[in-house]
Amino acid sequence: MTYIVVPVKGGGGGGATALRGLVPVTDGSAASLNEIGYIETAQVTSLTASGIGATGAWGNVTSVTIPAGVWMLQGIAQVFENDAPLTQVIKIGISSSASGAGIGTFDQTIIAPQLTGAPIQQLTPLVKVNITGNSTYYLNTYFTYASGSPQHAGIIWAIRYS
Amino acid sequence: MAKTITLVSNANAAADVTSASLDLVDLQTGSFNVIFSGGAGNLAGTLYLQGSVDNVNFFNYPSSNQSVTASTGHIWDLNPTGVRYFRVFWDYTSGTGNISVTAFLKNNVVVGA
Repeated sequence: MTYIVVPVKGGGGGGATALRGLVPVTDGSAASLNEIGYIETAQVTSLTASGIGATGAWGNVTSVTIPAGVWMLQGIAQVFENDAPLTQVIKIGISSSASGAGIGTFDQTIIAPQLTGAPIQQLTPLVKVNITGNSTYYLNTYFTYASGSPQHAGIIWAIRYS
Repeated sequence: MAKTITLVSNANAAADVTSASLDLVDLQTGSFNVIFSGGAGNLAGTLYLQGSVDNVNFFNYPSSNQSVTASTGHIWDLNPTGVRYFRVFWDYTSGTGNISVTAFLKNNVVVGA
């Protein structure tokens, strides 16, 4: 008898770098890097002026580096004027550049800050990327201010879909 | 809810000065206050409140031009306005001193009463 082995994309049992599909577990453990469902995260938990862009320019909160595959990226940024009265809307987005405006269309959250003197938290839009090698993605913020030093914090996560 | 925003902080007024622009988004009320300080107290020129819908092309707000002599300050009260972006322009003529521009914004309705 001859058996024909049909490779299944996303199936388990591959080599060390092969993509593995949904892998059942009994111990509640999370998916590994090369398994669908793996989540890569990075965060800055406390408000800081580190990484803030100049007025009217994008700055970076934090970033994740992920390998080849299809990933969904999203983040939450906390923004705070910190006695640097903001004169224009605040923008939050995911970008492939630490000083970038975002990726494609519908990639930024816009916040009107005029009457808010307390920190604000907002989700970024969800961004899908299909990459062929290691790539870094950034959670970025954008402030416009006449003086002072606004602050930001936040978390970015990437979930492997394929 | 209300908020004060500094657009120009003690800048040299012995030259033309354009403030940072302020985005009112969907707010409709506010005021802009100009104060001169220091120098010889003899600044002369013209203050303009300017508005824009795109934050690029600014035009003088109707009837806002204010002649200044002897470093006299000024305030504009907006209630209501449909203009989104505002800035203040100081057109210098003579004298010495500094200029500060402050905006005050507030909702024109009581929230959560």
